[in-house]
Amino acid sequence: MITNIELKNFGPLEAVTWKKLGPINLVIGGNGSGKTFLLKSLYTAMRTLEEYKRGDDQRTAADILVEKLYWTFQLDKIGDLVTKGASANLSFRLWKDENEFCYNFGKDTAKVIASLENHVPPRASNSIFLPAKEVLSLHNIILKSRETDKVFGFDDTYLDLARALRQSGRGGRNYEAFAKSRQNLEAILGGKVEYDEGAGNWQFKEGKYRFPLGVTAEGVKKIAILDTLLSNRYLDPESIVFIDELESALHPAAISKLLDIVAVLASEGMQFFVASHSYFVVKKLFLIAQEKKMNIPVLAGDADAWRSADLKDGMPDNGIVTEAIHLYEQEVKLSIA
Amino acid sequence: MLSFTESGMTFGPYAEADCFCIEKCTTYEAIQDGVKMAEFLLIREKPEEPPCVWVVEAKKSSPQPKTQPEFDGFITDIRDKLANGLTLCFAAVLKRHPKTLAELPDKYKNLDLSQAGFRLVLVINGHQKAWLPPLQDAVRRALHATAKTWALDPNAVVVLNHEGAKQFGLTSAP
Repeated sequence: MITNIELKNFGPLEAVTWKKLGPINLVIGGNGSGKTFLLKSLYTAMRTLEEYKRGDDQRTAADILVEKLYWTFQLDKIGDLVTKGASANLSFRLWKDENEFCYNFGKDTAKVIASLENHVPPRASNSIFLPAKEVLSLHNIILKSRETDKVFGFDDTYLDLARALRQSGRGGRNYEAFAKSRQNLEAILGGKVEYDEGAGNWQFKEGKYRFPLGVTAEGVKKIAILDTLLSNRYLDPESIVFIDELESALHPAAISKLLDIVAVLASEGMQFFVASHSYFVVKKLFLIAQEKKMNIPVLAGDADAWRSADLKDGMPDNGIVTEAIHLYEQEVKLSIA
Repeated sequence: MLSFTESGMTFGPYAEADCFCIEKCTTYEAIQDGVKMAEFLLIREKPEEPPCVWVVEAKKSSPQPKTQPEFDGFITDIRDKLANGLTLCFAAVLKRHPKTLAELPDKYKNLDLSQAGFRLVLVINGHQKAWLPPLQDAVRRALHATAKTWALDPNAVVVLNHEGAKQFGLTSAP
C-alpha cells in the first residue's frame, strides 16, 4: 500500500504532501486543480515499480520511468513536467509499505533521470488507471494508435488499460471477495460485457441476447471495465487502482453501488485512489467511513492550496460541499428572505 | 410582544397579533389525541405582498440519513406536524372550530386564504449547516403532496438551524 507521498514542482502540483494514506483515498478539487495529474504521477511510479525486474526485462527503473512519464504525460521532453517558473527541480517521493521510491529532475531533462532511488522490492501485482472515459469502444483504435502508429493521443493509462482488458482469464477459483464483487457489478450492469474473439469487438450479453457495445450506455461500459479486470485476474488483492472522475457517466445510485464494491475490495487489501468533483462521491465515501469506522484520507485542492483531512472525522471543508450549502442558501433566500 | 422558548431557542419577540401558538391553544387541546402539531403560526408581512403564514416546528436535533429507520421516522413526524399545522390554520381561519374564534388573533380572522403565502419551516437547534441541504431535500420530498395539493410555492418548505433562524428573524437566542 502507498502510505505517504510528497511532490514538489510537478506540473500544476507545486507542493503536495499527503501522509497516512488508507485503503481508499479521495482527491477532490475544482477543474484544473491537478487531480488527474496527481493520480497519473502516482500511477507512473507504481507501474515503474511493477515493470522493474519483471520477467526478463533488463531496463533500469530510471529507463522505465522516463518511458512511462513520456507516454503518460505526452510532452516533448519530460523536463516540461517541471512547474513553469520553478527555481528548483521536480521532486517526487513515495513510500510503499514504508519503503521509499524517489526521483528528481530539472526542466532541461530529456531522456535521462540521474537522481532516482528505489527501496521498494519488485512487485508481481498490477496497478491500473481507469480514465474518466470508457475505453471498450475505442479498444482497437487505442492499440493501433499506440502499438502500430506510435503516436501521441491516447496516453499510457489508456494503452495499459486496453492491454489489461485483453489479458486472458486464468482458470481456478477467483478470490472470494472478487467473485462477490463481480456479482454485484453485474447486478448493476444487468448483464456482462465480453470480448468476441471472432468478431474482434466487445459485446454486451444480457441473458441469451448479445448486443453491440455501441448501443450500451457509457456507465455500463465503465463498470464492465472493472468487472473484466477482476474476472481476468489482472487485478489481485495487492493491486492499486486509480479511478479518475469515478462519477462520470454514472447515475448517483450506481455511484453508491460502485463505491460499496470499492469498499469491499479495499477491505481485501486492494488500494484505491479516487479523483472526483462529485458531491455524491464525497458523501457516499463519508458514509462508508462512518459505517465501517474506516479512515478515508481526502486531499482537497482549492484556491491554490492542497489540504488533507479524513472522512472519518467528518465532511471536508471544500468547494464541493460549500457549493451544496451555497445552493441550499439560495433556496432558503428564495423562499423566506 | 411575545417571546417563548422552544427546543433551547428563544423565539420572538413577535407582535401578539402575528403569532398563534397552535400547539398550546384550546382548539388543539380538544383534538390532540392522535394528531401531531407544529409549534406555532407566524404572519410575516412585506410591502406590496399578501401576508405569508409560517408554520413553524422546532427541534433540538435530528438523526443523520445513515441511521435510516430513525431518519425516516423523524421525517414522517416532521411531515405530519407541518402538514397538520397548515391544515389547522385553514380550519381555524374558516371557523371550523367554534372555540378558536376567542383565541385567534384578528389578523388571522381577516386572512385571505386564497391569496396568503405559506411557509412550512423546520428549525433545528445545533444542526451543522452542511447537514441542512439533504435534510431540506428530504422534508421537501415528504411534503410534496401537501405542497402540491394546497398550491404552495415550490420553495415553501424550509429547514433552518439556529443560526438561520436568527438570521431570518425567527429567534433572538441562541
